[in-house]
Amino acid sequence: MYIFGLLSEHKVRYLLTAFGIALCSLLMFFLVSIYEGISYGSVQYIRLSSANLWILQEHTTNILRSTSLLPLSSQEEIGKISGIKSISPVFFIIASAKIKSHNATLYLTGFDPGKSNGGPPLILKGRNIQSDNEIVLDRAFASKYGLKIGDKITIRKDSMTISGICTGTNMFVIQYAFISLVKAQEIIGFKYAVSAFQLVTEPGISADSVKTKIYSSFKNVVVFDKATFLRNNLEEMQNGIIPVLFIVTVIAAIVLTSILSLMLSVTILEKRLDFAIMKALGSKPAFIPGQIVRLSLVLSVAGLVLALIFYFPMEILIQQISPEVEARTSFFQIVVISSGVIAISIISSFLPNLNISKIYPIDIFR
Amino acid sequence: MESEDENIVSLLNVSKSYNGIRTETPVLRDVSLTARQSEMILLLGPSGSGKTTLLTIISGLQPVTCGDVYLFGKKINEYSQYELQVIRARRMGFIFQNFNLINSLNVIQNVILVLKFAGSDAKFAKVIAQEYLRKLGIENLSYSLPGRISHGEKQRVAIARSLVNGASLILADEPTGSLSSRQGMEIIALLRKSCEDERRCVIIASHDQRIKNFADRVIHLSDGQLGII
Repeated sequence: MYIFGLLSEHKVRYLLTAFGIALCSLLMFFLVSIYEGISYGSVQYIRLSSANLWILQEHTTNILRSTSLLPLSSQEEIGKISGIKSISPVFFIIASAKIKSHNATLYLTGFDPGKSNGGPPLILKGRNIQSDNEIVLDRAFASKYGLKIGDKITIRKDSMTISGICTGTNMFVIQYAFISLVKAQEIIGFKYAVSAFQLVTEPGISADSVKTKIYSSFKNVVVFDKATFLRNNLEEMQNGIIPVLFIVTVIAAIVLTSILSLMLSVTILEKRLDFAIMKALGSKPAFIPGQIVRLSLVLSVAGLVLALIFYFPMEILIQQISPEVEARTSFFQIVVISSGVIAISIISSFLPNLNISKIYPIDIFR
Repeated sequence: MESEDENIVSLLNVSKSYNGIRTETPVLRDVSLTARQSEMILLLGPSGSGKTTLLTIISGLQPVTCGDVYLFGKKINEYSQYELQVIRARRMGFIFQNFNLINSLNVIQNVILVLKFAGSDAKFAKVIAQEYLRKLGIENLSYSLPGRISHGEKQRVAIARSLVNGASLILADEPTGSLSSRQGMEIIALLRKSCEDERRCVIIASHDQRIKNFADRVIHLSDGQLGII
């Protein structure tokens, strides 16, 4: 009753507070969904590959932030190991591309189009490469630079024609692009080198037994099963940019706590007389602090509702402005952040509520 | 002492001083008085005579320096803070010169608030609040905010608020201070009626001589000391 009276008495102030809460909540929603988007997108290439074993140069743990070089010639020898159904070589290069008047960086992935793995995981438009002068680009990259099927981009001195647009290949800071293995080797100047081999084992053959055979026959290599390799790459990404997102989320939570605490403190200061009257009239000790917590909760819920109303249209807008920003939103995230905001609203009322003990009912007789 | 049923408040040799850094300022000196059911007492005295201090002591909002205060038959310092809060919610009513209504609540909400503190059910509280507003002739203002009604109407709301919980003790601090002469006398007449009809004890602190005609007893307070007229 009292809270709604207060809200209607100071509509503009509380509306602004609810907007402040909405903005902080929006920031948290975005950061967490971008965190999820990056976590998901950065390893989607590995996840969608049907390979259940990855071979890399010894001491390499991932393909995102380390270099692995293996001789292409070992492909044939590895392929002879019993239990291997297919072996696909891949060559990863970070390279600059010239697009119209822009320079952009791509995570070039050279693969053998004749093999089962290594290429684009899911082509949305166009087709896979059929020659050394063709390239398949990630959807976010193509969208960012306004590229379409048939357009040309220049990598080093070579003009490449876009044959397809794919998805599941956006790592936020960089995007995969797929070219032939031969072209990748030519670009980097290592004609007989690859970065990794993706293996598919025969049905019924355990990946561990194949792994043991590879280790017994080859030195200077490391073999990962799919789950371990996924985890390694994910950890690599999480150790990079993702902590920054986490810190910004924490800052947003602190800002939210400060906004609410400040607003509640101002309310208590301004409504001292009301609270003194209530105390004199016999309010229970928990009544006034309870009103402050309620006010905080009402504002937080209003802020959350506003945030959710704006979130989905803004998500679409942001992806149109920055296609490489891929947010992944789940019901679980919404529940977690909403619970966090509710918890913050309760915590925020703690310090202001301490001031209530300094309001004396006798003051109303003065 | 007289029976517990009759006596609402008894003060025995009560003194009150406020301590400064180096000085002690006496406000009440050796005050003794008893207030009974159905009695209207006027504490008459100029500003600074200690009238308001006496009311705050009776309501348990501040302790005495020495002497004893009995409230509803029990020494006031034997009540816990929680018990005093319950007494204020259920057995006392307050009226102030500046009304002390809560401006963000409408008239009926101001009245219901006290019933809420007294632990009444919300539906019952609304019915009772409406009944008191009707008795005081301000039912039509139920949903008006205090900022939009006259001073006389505000004081009627304050009276409704003080009576609605069935309080047996009403403490009124300069209730006519912000009202016109006519409005002031109407308010005192309402309190007198409540005193007679509902056997309430009303203690009014005022410097308004006109209230004398309504009071059962007039107690003159000057420099913290009593003198009965």
